[in-house]
Amino acid sequence: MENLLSIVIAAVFINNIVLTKFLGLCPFFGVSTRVRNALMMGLAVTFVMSCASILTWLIYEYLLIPFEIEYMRIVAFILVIASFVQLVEIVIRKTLPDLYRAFGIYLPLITTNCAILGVTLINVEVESYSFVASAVNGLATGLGFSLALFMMAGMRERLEISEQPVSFRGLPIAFITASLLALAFQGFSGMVE
Amino acid sequence: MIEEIAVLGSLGFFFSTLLVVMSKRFAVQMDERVERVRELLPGASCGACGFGGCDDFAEALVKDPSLLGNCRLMGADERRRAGALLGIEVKETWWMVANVRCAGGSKVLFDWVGEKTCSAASSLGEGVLACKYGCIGLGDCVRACPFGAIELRGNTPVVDEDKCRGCGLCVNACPRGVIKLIPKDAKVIIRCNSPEPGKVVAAACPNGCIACKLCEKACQVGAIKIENNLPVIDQSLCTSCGACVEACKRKVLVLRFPKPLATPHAS
Repeated sequence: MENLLSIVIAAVFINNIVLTKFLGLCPFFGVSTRVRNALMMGLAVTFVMSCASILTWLIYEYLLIPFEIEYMRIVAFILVIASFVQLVEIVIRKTLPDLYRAFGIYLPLITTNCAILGVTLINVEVESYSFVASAVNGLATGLGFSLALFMMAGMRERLEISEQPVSFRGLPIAFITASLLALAFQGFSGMVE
Repeated sequence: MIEEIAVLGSLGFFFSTLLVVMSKRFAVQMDERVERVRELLPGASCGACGFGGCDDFAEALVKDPSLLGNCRLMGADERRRAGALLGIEVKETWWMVANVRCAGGSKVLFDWVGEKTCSAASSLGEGVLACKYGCIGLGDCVRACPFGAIELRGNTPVVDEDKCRGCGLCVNACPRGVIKLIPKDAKVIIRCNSPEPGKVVAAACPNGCIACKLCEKACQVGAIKIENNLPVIDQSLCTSCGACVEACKRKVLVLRFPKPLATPHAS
């Protein structure tokens, strides 16, 4: 239990997927202009990340290891994640049309999000997590992504209406903000073993 | 080598089969017209049509095309295409038209030799006119109109209501807020914009409203109230009798239609 808690804290704060590992930067800048959109995207990413962690762990453990083809994990994982997202989209569209409308473009967008692949690879490769730990790590990393996206969107909404030098307007100030945010997150390092 | 091909191949085959089966099982029956009508809607989901948003409105439209006139934001072209898609004839219907609330005639305080735009001329002091609220007549609204519906006659802009589509660009362009959008079926319009008391208006302009309340008294149905020193007309009560127009000594009120119009809202 303690172990799982430390995984959560590590994934959300210390090894934040965006601000420390620098994965998933595309949506971090693309979808962080409005808080509402950022939250929607965060929700979708969290959902897909948790499910992908579970799925890929099973595939890895019971398919790739027995056949001794672990080195094909990237291909296999991409296949699994893409199919899974597609599947979820089909099902949600039929069963929960409102949710489907709310997710909108974000769900298919996640298919190609490197953060998802990154988490699944970290689970089985870097950390060699157990099944439960993998699932928790997927969920927590998604939450960490949402947190980073939410903070970024909140700051960018305020930046938009504040006075800035012309050359900094738009993306440049967003990059600076992101770097300061990443620096701040460095303060968490070493908190959990 | 064989194992990789076999495992990944079967994995791929499994997922593709699953996707095919699921897409058949969970196929969403959707009228393709809904999607196409939705694309023609503005997408602002403003709710003015009475539905939850553009998505809901598109679905309702396919069931009942006569609702098409409910959307106020749609452009003429989109409306016509949506009408063609839904199989109904679309008449040009516009809800609002621009109305210039000034008849001109205010005393001029000084000659303006700067740039010939209203915004420039109104930026110096309180403007070149004795009336702080009157039309300057340098045509910012004319330049703003994308439909060529406004032209200057003398120093006052005149709106061609056949060309006006009620987009409101002129309203934003006017630095003094002289132009307002009014319902297309408004019966009596006001040609003064000054909320100053009668004394001030009378000193500045022979055509301005001095809030004498003669129109308010003349109206048989109580459709006119003076608010902020200007008459406000309840168009739903107005019977187009013209009594107020006759009563007004300064010709501030103008009758637009000699007799009540049938409501033009239905498309």
